[in-house]
Amino acid sequence: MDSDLNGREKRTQKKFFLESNFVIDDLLQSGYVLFNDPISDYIQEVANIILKEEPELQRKLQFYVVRSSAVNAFAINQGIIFVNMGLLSQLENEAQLAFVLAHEISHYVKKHGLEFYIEKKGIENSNQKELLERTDYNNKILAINQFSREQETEADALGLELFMKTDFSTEAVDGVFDVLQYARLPFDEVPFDKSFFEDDYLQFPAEYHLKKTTPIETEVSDNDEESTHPSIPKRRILVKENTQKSSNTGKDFLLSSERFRTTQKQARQELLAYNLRDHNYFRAIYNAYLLLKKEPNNLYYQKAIGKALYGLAKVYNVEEIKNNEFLIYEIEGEISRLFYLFKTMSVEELNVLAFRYNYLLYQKNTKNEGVRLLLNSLAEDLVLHHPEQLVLMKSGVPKEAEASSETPENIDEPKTKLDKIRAKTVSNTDVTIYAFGDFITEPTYKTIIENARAANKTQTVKSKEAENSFWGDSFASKRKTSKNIHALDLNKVLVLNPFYKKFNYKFREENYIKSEKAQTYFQSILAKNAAVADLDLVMLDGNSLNGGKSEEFNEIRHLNEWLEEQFYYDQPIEQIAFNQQTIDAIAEKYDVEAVLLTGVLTGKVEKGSEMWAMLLYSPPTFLYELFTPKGETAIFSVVLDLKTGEVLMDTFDHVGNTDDKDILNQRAYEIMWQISRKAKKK
Amino acid sequence: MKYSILKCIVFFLLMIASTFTLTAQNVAGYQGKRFLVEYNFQPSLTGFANGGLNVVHNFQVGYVGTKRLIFGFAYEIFKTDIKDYEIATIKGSAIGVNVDWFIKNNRAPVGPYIHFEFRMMNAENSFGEEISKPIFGGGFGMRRIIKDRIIVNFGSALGWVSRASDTAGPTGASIPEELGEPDVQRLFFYRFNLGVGVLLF
Repeated sequence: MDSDLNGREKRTQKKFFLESNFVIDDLLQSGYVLFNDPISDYIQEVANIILKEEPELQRKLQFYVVRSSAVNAFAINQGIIFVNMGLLSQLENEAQLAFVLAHEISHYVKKHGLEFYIEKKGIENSNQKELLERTDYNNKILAINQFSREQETEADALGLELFMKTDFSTEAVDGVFDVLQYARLPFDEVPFDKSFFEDDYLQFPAEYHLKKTTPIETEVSDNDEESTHPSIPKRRILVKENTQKSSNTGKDFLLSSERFRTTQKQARQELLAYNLRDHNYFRAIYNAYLLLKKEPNNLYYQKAIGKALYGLAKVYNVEEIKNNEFLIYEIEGEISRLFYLFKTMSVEELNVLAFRYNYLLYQKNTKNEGVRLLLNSLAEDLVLHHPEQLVLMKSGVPKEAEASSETPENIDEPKTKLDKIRAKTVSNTDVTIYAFGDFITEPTYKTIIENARAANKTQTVKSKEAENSFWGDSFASKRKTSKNIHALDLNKVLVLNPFYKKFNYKFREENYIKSEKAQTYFQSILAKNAAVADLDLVMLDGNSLNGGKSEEFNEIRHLNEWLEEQFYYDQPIEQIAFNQQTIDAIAEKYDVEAVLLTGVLTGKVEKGSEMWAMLLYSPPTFLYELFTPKGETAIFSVVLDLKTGEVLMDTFDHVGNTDDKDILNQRAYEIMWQISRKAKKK
Repeated sequence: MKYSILKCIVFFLLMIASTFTLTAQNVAGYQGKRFLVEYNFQPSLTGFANGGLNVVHNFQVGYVGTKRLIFGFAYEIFKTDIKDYEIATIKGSAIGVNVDWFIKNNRAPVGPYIHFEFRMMNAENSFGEEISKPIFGGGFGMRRIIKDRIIVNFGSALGWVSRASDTAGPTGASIPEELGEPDVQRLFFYRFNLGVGVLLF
């Protein structure tokens, strides 16, 4: 620590190291960071070129890749530089990667994170709201890694200095600013046409094609007064002034262009999974479409499109979700044509398209269980939400492909109001009725639809039973026997990252050290009470894993991603997750059907005035209250079916006391008991 | 005859307890344990006026019937000085039922609770005179569990013993008070409660 800091600054510095250590630990253990992989090794080697004359820095710094689609990289004071997969998918060459790394290394060298933290703490102390807002990794990282405009400029200058010592091309620097400027767009700009989804059996009306796309915004404001970052034009000018002084004789690649291309391709492939995980379906389809241009028969890309269509159909089928702007709008560039197509088509058309795309995929890969699962689920939705559409479906090829006869240019010709209405009326029925024409008579299709109808009937009977029951149907009510009491009848459950958060007085901020100690204590409480309730626990906790357990790390990462997808919307929407097959394998490995998420939040609060009333009425109780801290504690649990994502049980207990051992034992037992409890036969 | 009313009440309370237990199928108790036995040492604060430390010894069995309620059956023995009589005492026993209602977000048998009790008291003074009276009471307490089995119970209890002077005979004339009646009333009026117990099963 620096000796010239005053007392308050020293305390703040200590706190910064403590906070950022825990946040970074959290990130490293979340499974969102890649370890010992070829991409991280490659980044390390590029960094070594920059740090050729800095062996001390080379030894101190570590480079990791984060599984995030955001076009970003960041450095932390502990000497770790994180590069997001999203950035790697957009960079054009090794030299650009080198400049980004040089910039981040400069942040570390100048200790910008700490400097900004102390400055910020001087202005405002973090409050509870800020603390609660820092719940996801991106926000946490942002909170401890904010840099001022001056610091960014300084990092550009020092980064450039380091970069200029290498033989990389200085033109790359300008390229990095281009990457940043257009980071909001997909990694390529290729024309998209609705014909991508069309064939003889399914054709969309010409109106579904967006004729003119909104031009990509190239002008960016150089007003950076309200931003923590200097504007890109300003940074570009500053850097250009320095690069122009030297002649550009450098190269775009010093290590290997092949390794860069492989890294870039891998990053782009990975993006598909993140897009699906983040419910960014339009981006998933467009990115897969871009990748298919080079590898038209790649099953992974096709499956990504199939899953994105499935996800979209699921969202469109729930009106509230569709209208709640959960869908990310794409308004610039070629991807806006794709967005327009889906925005224009009806919900029936989308369901039919999703089914057709996945059915054709299944025809080519009949052993693919994942696609089959999607098909079954899509068929169930068709039966449930669009039964009239299924009845209309015809076999054979459409006689007149009216919808496709019009080219996009023809639609410019003036039409009467009635022409337009007629065209729309035709489109809603004729577009889709032959969409299953080539396979409607196949036994596979018939089986899928029959199974879906049977599943729907069972579901309807169950719903009616629930409606007639005393408590009615409610969230997670399937296995409830009475209000708030569950009977899941499980003998084993997977517990994922149980947490115990201890907060300081009035919940102002988390006490990381106490939280960490309590974490182990909570696990022992869970284990003990599970044993009493005759329930087996499989504990998967990133905090207690050591370096040798990379398999468990990966399992935690898959489960976290699966959960993110399950809890994306503010209401339950049962859908097959993008990594469902991996989850099935985890469930099979541990022989479990469900996952339990549980945690405790506790903190001290002011003692209430009712304590003084006890002085007169019940002095022994008063003495107890006087010498024990007053706290607020909550313990929650959510149990999800690993096969379907269905919420089987959710409890939230506001204990309203300190986190005393007996109370925690009692509540932990209640959770375990409800999980293992057998439902009584009616 | 003297316990006939009490028998009816006990029967009635047990009926309520069993009904709750059968229908609610709730997660009452502590780690599945619902039966408890307790000894409570109850030094009387108002009983000091009788001439020294006078104590009620309370033994009870309890059953956690619902998330919030413990139904208990209690047997108490007591002995108290009689005010202004140096050698005379009054001693006796009481049996009865009680209900502990756990307040706020607490669940039986852990945490703060409000206590209701009904007892039938039978005592005899040094002169061989018998007193039989009902006691109605209430209180406030706190139970904690140590090592998943040991119960610590502390709080206070208020009790009201009906006295002869409060009641009237069949003819309307007041019934004469036996020696020691006011002392028993003071004994039960305000007691501290310090108890230990065991969660059985």
